Amino acid sequence: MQKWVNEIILEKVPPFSWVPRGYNVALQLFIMEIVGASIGILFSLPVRSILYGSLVIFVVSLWSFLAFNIGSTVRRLKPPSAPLERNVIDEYQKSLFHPRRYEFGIAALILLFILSYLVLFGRDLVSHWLGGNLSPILLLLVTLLLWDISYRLGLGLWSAIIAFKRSVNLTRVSKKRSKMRYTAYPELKTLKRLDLINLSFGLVALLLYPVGSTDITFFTGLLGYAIVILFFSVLSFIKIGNIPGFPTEIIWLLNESKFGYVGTSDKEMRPHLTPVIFVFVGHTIYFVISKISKKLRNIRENDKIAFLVDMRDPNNLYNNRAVLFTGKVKVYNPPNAIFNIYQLLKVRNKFYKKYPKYMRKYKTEEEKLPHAWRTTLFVSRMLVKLEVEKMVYWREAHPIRLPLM
Amino acid sequence: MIDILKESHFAYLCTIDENNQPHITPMFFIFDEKTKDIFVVTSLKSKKMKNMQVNPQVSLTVDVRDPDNPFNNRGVMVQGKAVIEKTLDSLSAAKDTKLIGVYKAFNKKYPILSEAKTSAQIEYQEFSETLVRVRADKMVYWRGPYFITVSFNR
Repeated sequence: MQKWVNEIILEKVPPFSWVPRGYNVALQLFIMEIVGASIGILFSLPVRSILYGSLVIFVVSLWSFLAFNIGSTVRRLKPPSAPLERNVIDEYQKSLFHPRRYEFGIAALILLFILSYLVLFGRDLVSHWLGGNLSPILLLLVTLLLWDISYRLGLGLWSAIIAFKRSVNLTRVSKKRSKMRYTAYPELKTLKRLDLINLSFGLVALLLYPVGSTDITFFTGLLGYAIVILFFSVLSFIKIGNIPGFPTEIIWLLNESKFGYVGTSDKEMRPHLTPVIFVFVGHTIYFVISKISKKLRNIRENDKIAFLVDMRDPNNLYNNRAVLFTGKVKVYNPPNAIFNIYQLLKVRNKFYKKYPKYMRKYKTEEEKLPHAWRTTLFVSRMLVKLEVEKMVYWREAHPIRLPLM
Repeated sequence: MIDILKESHFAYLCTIDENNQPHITPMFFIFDEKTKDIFVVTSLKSKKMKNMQVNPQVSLTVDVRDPDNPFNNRGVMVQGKAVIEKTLDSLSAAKDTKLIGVYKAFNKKYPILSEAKTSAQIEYQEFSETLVRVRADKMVYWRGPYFITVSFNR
């Protein structure tokens, strides 16, 4: 796979190539700061100009660091085993490191826009930056710095847009999976992490605020850029989180079937089995249990559980489908719930969507319920999540073993 | 409670393997009202059978679901020990009238089973389908949020 130009420079060109990987961005920052400060002193620029310059150099280096992170992470992505999904990830990698280097095109447009703005309306801003000293060498250096900024702005925008497109496509092909055969893509978490890096790439732009604080257009531009990146990255992040992790037939079974059976066991290896209502997100199952239940005590003693969802056909007993999940459970407590508030809201929403009648009943008859059955989270009920490790699917009484990872 | 056990067609059997990992399967079953035992049929080669041979403690749940009102959900959970009886093939040879009675009850409750059996006779022998008796130590009955527990002293 190709690399971005700034990666190639930092990895191949001395002196950056002399230092170990990971330190070359720091070296770049160091050299640029030294050169910037020397030029400032040489041209006896005001302290303000040197501070502005240092800030720009710092932000540019921060962006380089993030770009390095994005680049190496995307190149290291393992291909999904499902062919349609493999195509999406392949296309994502190819577009991000496209030999035509689209990010340059975007960067050139941004630079052109900034330069024409500065020439037409921004003379005051430029002399504010340089303390009135408009020597051609200084102007050239400013242009160079502006190019550094533009190039990274372009890179960040390109990366965020391509990531968004990849998430949309992954969601689309997840609906076209084969009925039975599907192996969940373990790199979904990495894709979410990439969206967060893209997001921070956009937010870093806001650090440049002091440089243009006297000019409203400059500030609006930075803010607009951050908002666009925020928009694409957050949407992409949400989309990835909603991709189901099962083959379509299992997804159908999980959506249609209202009850799941939770099998737990205690220290004495005595099993316990009761029905619950449940929802799933990705390939995680969520259910709610009472705080005083035997289930909760068992889970605290042994976090390995089995979870069965089945579909009965009253007309044909043999036409029975069931899926068995096994794995480890985690009980949410208030501190880790706060960290996962977004996930919890999503789960809550899914419960309301899947069990509208139950939720209404629980609400209207709350008073009549014994304490243990009240639905208030953490007071009387605990949310439990099962990270599925293995699953077995039966159709018409014949077990079919399915791979998961 | 007895009604649920008599009328339902499906039971869920939970067994535990040597690593204390639970395993659940939907099963056909017969409830013997006199002895309060529950019978299921399973293959000697199945995962649950291997689990029961290592750890006879099992749990079996039968329930009636109401998708509209959670207060109408009813069910029984039986906790007890599994006793592995005889394979179906050896039943008639063993002349154990009680077990043959159970087997007949199976065929009566699930006519489809006997049909399937004739068509898949060979498969049956190959998998050594076996009768398993679940002796209840404890039964928990629930209706909506209310629970009743019945213990058996054996």
